[in-house]
Amino acid sequence: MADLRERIARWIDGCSEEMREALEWQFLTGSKYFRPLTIFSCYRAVREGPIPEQIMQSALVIELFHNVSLIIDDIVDRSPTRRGRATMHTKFGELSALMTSGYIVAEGYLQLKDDLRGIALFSELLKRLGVAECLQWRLRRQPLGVEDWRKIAGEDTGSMFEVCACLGDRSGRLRTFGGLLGLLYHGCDDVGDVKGLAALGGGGEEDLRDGILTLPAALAIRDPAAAKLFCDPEGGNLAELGRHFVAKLPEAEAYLDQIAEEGRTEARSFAVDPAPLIALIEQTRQLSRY
Amino acid sequence: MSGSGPGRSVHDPLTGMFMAMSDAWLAGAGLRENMTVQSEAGNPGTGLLGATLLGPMIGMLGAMADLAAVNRQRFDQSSAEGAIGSPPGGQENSVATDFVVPMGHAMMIAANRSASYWLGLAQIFASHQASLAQAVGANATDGRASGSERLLAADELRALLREVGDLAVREARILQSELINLDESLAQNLQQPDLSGSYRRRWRSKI
Repeated sequence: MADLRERIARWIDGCSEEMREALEWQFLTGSKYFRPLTIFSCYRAVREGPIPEQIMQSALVIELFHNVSLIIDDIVDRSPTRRGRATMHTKFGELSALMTSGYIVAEGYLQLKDDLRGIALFSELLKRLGVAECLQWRLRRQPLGVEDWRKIAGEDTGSMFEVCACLGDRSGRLRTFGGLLGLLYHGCDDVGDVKGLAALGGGGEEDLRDGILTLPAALAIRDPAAAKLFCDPEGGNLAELGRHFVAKLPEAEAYLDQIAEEGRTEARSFAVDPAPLIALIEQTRQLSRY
Repeated sequence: MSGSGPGRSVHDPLTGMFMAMSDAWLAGAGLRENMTVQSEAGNPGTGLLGATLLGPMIGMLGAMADLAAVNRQRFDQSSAEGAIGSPPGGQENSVATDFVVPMGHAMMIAANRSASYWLGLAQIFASHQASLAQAVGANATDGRASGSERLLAADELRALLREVGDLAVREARILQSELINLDESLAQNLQQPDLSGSYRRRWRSKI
């Protein structure tokens, strides 16, 4: 991770002076580097020896692309802060934040050089993230089920971790594991938000306000009273809706335990050494338990 | 193990396996014919399906297990013989070891995966049984389930379908992975011993 941090710092030093301040603001504090960690762990699950240059390169680029998704999310959600400090668009303005996002994507592809498989995977990621965000927005305030949540979360955070798994193990055997890890991360994030936690970097007020289908929401709106509040286009009684979500937290935690178990089974079935993958599952599962 | 219990044959394992396959095929063909006749008479008669096919299927699984066990024995024997030098008997024995034993190993892998799939399926049905029965029961009682009840029932059914699909894909992937490993070890066993290290096959593909 220290090597990765150094690479990011070196990359920023080589960027346009116009962009450097915004890039330093975005990249040089507070990241958990969980996506690069997933790439390294997937590599370790199938191979021994030092981490090759191609894997380090992929880890750098996944961190770049992840930050692009954060910058865009913050603009769309109108979030003033992230990780306890001002978001990029709050600090530098929307135009600067949007242009910096485009700059980061272009730089990401340049960093990949001749890694054609990597380029294809990152293209898949950007396309799927775009589709997932549109789908999630179109399906807001609708009385859907847990299976719908699973589809949306699988395309959103799931696609990010699927790609991480494929970057770490280019055979693609760990793709399903990555998808399950992403689903688990997304679900823990949803539950953490309802618990009012800052551990995952965001609050849940935006999702509640916008009628986004989270895991606790999908479970709560099985009750017609909660469904009526959730589907209200005026976004009426959010406090009452929040109480319905809180009541479903134990059920949501149990559902997350099931996903975690699916992930462990997948790791045991397809990794040469499942230990690094199971450690990822345990670390992620803890995120909703703080 | 061979020749005892349900579906076990008194023949040698390979003949037993083919006879069990033939029995299962005949039972399936008979059932299909029977269902066509009943369907034409306005009676679907699907209740017979499980009872009619269960016996031959158990027979086939038993025969596969017998064959797998015999081949496993041969595989272990040939490995032990290989460790202390080539047995007398020459080329013919070597062909048997090279091809028949891996075939048996492959069938053992297939039988294991098949059993694992059916077990997984049973677990999935067991875990959804109560909630699905409840959903179907609520509908059947008055035939007027509310919107949220119908959504819940649909969600349960969709979860069941996804899990069945996921299970099939996972078992198929494990089967593929185990057969690839067998394929690699077969290729390595047939490799010329005088090749220098740099030309030897790689056990795993490059990234």
